[in-house]
Amino acid sequence: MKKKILITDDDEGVQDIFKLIFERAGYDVSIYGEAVSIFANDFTNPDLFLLDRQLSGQDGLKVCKFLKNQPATKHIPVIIVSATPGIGELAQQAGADDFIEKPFQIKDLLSVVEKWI
Amino acid sequence: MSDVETVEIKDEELFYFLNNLVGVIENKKIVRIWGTQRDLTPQKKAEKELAKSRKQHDFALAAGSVGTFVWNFITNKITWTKIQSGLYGMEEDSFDGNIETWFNFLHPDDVEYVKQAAKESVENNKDLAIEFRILWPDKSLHWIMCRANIFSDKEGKAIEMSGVNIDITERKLKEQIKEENEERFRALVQNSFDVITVFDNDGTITYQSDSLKRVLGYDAESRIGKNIFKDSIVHPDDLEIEKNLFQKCIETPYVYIRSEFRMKHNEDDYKIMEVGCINLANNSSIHGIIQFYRDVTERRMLEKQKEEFIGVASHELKTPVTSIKAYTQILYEIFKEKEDEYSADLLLKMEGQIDRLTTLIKDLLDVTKITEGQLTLKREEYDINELIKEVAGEMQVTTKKHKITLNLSKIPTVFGDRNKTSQVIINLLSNAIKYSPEANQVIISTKGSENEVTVCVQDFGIGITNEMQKKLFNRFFRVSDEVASTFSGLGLGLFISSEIVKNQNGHIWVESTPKAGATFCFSLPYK
Repeated sequence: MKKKILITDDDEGVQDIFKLIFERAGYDVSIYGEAVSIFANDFTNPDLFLLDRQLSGQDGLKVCKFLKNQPATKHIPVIIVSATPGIGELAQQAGADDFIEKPFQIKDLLSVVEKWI
Repeated sequence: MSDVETVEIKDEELFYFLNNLVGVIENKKIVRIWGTQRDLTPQKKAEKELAKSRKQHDFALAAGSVGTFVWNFITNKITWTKIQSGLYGMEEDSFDGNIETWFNFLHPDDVEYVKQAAKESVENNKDLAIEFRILWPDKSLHWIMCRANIFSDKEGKAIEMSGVNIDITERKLKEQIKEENEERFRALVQNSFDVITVFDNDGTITYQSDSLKRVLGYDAESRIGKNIFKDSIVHPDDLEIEKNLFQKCIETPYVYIRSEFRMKHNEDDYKIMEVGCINLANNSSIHGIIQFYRDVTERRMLEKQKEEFIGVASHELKTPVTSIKAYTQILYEIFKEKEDEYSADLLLKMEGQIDRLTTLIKDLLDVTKITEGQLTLKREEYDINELIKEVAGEMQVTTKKHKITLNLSKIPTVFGDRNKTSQVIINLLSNAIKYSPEANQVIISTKGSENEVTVCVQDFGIGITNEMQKKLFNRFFRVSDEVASTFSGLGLGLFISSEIVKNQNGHIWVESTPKAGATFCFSLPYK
């Protein structure tokens, strides 16, 4: 069975490449361009969350905190994606399990995901 | 032969003689001379004395142009000397002696004052000492100083006033000019753009320019006597800076010291002030420490906005770059799967360019962070040789022309920021390649000593002059000679590299001869 990744990102180009990368690597991908659905719990639990900080008016870090505080989702690994240098510390403070900086090497992205999924 | 005066010196005194001489000439030769001699010395001496005293007298009168007068109260007539006439611009003996005529010589505005003073002097039998203006017949204005005594008869009744007039026009003019100059400078200082404050050695304000009101909202008067150590209007967090500036200023007289700190506006928030200080304690007219303050709040805010903007912009740029990079990598995979080596290779090169773009964007962001003092570094253990192999491998892809040769010695691991150090190596390697277009090799080497590891990147390109070498690691510096300015780049790389190395307690330097290439080295301590 294919593992599921839930991705949040508001940039169309980035959404597209995430889809390409993970489908080629054999994952099932569901992509959200906004945070409303997440906060409303309008989704199926994936095997891993990949959250970009940029989320149309919401900071991905906030979404991370929300997910990690919910009993239903707090066990699911969360990886933060961001162009902010020093994102590592911020991600850790928000309760994320790992992070990756943009722009990234595809192989690095895949290996981080593989580590936690 | 005629009379001749000669001088004979006898006992160091001069003697005058009148000589009557007769000579006898025989056969065109003087045979005998005889005559009489009369001693004129006493006569001459007397003449000399008289001339001397006359000269002194004339000189005394001419120097101060002192005229004398007598005003007889009984006849109510004034008599005066030739020089006095001169003081009034008149011919000798042209004054009719009437007191009313004399009052007409005065400047109209001074008449009342002089009449009053004269009256007081006479009534109280007091000496007169006044200054007034007179108008000459040619309408020119002159200043006269008058000193006079009152003479009374046996019954105490005033008979006459006798005194001197001195022309003090020149002195008055000089005073006027001096006052005008002082006025001018006072106006300049009071209206200066900057705030000017003068302190004495223990920090008490002895002068405060009016501009303080305009700049910081306080009345200048209210600050006089205040002390910067007790009544400072500086932001509490900046008090140390203010004290240090004052201290340093006192210790180095006649040297301009600069600083910056926040000062509280009377009716507003704190303003950022650019401050200049100079100790003029030995200057006789200032005798203190001068400080100049300029409000640079707006300027600093603008700079901060610019820096933040650059940070935001570079952040934004990373997103589309992320996508492009990913597409490139995916395409590379696809072509590799289809065994289309040619296309795959093109994409590899594309990726190299994207990495260059990413580096430029990262540099922009890093520079703003360095300026704001926010460059934070990780500490981890890593192997520099491994790092170099990795980086060199990635960079070799972007250049077919240059061979990156590795010359690595065995070295221990290093504690520091692997990511940031890799940035430095990338920067040095790409510079080496960029600035040696005619060469085909770049050598990177490592060497370990007792406390540190040294990494050197050598190229065989255009080289760097001694002058440029000094400025190389400055922010925004780009080599600007005719040849080098045709090369691309933001000019941030070396600045950032030098900051990264310095922040890890290392050193960075360059050795180069123009046209014979350059070797950039940096050292990092193991711990």
